[in-house]
Amino acid sequence: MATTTAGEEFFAALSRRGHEPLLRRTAGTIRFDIGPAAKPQRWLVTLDRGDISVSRRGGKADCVVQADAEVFEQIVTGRDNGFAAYLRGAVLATGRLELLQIFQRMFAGPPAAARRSGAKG
Amino acid sequence: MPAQVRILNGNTYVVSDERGDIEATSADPSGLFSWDTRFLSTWILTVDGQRLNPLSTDDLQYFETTYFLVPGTGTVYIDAKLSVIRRRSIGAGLTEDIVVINHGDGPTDLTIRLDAGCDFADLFDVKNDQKKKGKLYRRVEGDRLVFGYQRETFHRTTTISAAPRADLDEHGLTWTIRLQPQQKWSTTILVTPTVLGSNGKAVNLAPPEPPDLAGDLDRWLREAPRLECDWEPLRSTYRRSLIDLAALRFSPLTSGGRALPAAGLPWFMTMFGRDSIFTSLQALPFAPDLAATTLRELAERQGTRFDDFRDEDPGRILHEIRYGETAAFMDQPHSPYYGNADATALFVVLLDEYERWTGDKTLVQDLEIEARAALRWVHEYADLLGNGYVWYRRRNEKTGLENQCWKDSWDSISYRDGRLPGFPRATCELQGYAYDARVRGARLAREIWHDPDYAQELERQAADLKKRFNRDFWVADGQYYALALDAEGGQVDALSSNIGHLLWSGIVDKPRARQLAKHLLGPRLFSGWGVRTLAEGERRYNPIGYHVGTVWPYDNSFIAWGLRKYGFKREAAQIAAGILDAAEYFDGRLPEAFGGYPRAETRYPVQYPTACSPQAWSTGAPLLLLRTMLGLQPLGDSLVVDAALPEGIGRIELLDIPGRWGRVDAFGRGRFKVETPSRLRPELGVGR
Repeated sequence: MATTTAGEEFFAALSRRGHEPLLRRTAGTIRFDIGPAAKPQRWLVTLDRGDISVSRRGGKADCVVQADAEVFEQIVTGRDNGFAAYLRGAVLATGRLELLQIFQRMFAGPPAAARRSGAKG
Repeated sequence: MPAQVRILNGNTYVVSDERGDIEATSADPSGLFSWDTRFLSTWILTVDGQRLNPLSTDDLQYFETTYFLVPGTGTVYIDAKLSVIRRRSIGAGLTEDIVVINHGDGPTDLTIRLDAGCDFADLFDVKNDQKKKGKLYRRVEGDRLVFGYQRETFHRTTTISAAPRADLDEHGLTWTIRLQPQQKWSTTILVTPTVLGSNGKAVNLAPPEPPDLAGDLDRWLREAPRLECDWEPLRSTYRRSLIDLAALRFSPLTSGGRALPAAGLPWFMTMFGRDSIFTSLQALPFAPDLAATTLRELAERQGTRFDDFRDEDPGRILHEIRYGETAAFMDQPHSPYYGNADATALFVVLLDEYERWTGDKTLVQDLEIEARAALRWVHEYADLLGNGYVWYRRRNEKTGLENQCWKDSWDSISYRDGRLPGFPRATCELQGYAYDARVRGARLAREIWHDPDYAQELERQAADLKKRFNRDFWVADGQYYALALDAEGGQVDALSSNIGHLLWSGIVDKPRARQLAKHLLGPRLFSGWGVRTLAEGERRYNPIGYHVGTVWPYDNSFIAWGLRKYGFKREAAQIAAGILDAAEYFDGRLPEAFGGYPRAETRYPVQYPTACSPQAWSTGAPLLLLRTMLGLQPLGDSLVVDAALPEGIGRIELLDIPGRWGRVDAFGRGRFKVETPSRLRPELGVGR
């Protein structure tokens, strides 16, 4: 592919993120299968008490997440909400679902969200 | 109006009439609900085309009900040659046994019919007759009747099957049977609600429930402290509270099966920041695990982003989570919604109070980052005007909440003359919670996080807030604190129950506490049963106005706690006596709110028309009142008991109170004379 997708950018940024305190109580692996079920793009995310590593290999994971490329792109860029998409059945997950619940805070907030006018700074 | 019988398990529940029938209309929000979606809207049992009459209903367990019925249409004479028994229980879905017994002296041929249907209404649409945006379908698939609803990838189904098998059509189930004299026939029907993903497979929303609900309830009751008391109604109120609290337990996906209190039955069986925290505080001496789960689960969902639609900021504790179609398609912001201005400070208050009771330092260490983020929210993001107070103004102007304090109805915050202030608003109790959160946060910082500099900074902030608050909120010509400040810094000067929460938070200058106690027990605020949300004489006062005159048991339990904190034992006992007397009139189950009419006039508490019941923080109110009356207070590794009880209670023992001390007992005797203007029956102030 000529250009990088939002998914690729998201996982590249995630692997550079280093220690993430929000995930410090969690350990496990999540595999993201993004795109057509027959030929998905795969990322394996390993969460180890706040340390995050990402690889492109497949294999077993504690939680497997499936979504369309478009849906996933909307979510990682903050234009859709991961939890709402799960309720819509647009994101599928099997295995330890709590891993996804905790991980979804890594997704961006909505791009247009303005800070409150009155907030300091 | 037919009695609404409710049974539930987690957030799956049934609301039906006293025959067990469901006939949902926009005016009658009954049905089988799960995950905020109605999975049955029609469920009507007939025998030979005739509706049934209820003889009695047994709903002693919250997860099962038995209906004893006979054919006939409500005339005086009932020909009881047939008995029909419906036994219903809730697990992952609904299980219903129908038993028909022939008491006649000859054989009889019968047509048993169960009409079924489903509109898949979202909880937020049940009262609006909302037109569905997706496609509804119904079909018979072999020996199953399936109802479904599909909108893009959103897919929900209801699957109905029966054994022995029924004749199925798209509108229900039919059995044609012949019964000999004294013969009994029965069938078991399963109704399974399912959430489907885009691949047609079931989607999980919760951890599996414990299969043995009866055993689970027994365990829950066994682990709670035992209450012995001369005044019998208190014993039954206590037991009712424990059972209702068990029913209100809710296990979110991430909790590993552990439970926190949901807000209320039937419409609020979900996680609410404010309600889950207040209820956990009330229940701490009785079921401390609820607090631990509430803290952990709220921490996992603490805000991290700026999101106007959800009113989310970093560090903010959520307001409400929902699972239905309106949340899924973002017609409503509950995924989750963060629009409250109190739960974030209260999160820190609960964390400190929890550690004082349980000694669980590990959790406090574990949640240090979240507690600091919460305190930062209070100090920074909540201070919309940059003047050191907690303010609220929704950013989601379409579906967000206008009033982000516990009195969240549109007219709850008013000046004496009835005008409503603009936004942002800073209600007084929010400043109290912010003060308390800093004081308690400072203790945690010093003793557990070992950060004395941070502790000192929090204490400096707290002292500064207290000073400014006592200057800016004090209504000099009324001798109480204003309900709120408006954006111009003016006092929203109505007299309200909120001043009681200020006592609880400790933000009140000691010399002023006496004035507040006088107001709280005075004729304008105190009805005889409890403290009204808004004082009589204020322009918007209405004894049956939701937040402008009714009495809220939860509110009163925190007011009583506040009064005791400032040493007003008799006043606290008076409020406890009023609310516990009221509880007896509601068979031990306090409603969300009841009328603010003077007790001397009505002599019984008047139920608020649409109050939801049981509601978690009403269920918790008798528990907190018990704590308050017994004067239970953790002190290091021991529990101090300093009872101040209304006379009529006689002797009281609360045995095996759990905490950092292991288990201890508390004893007390009623010594305080309290006023009871109505004397319909033995009441707390009068004696037995």
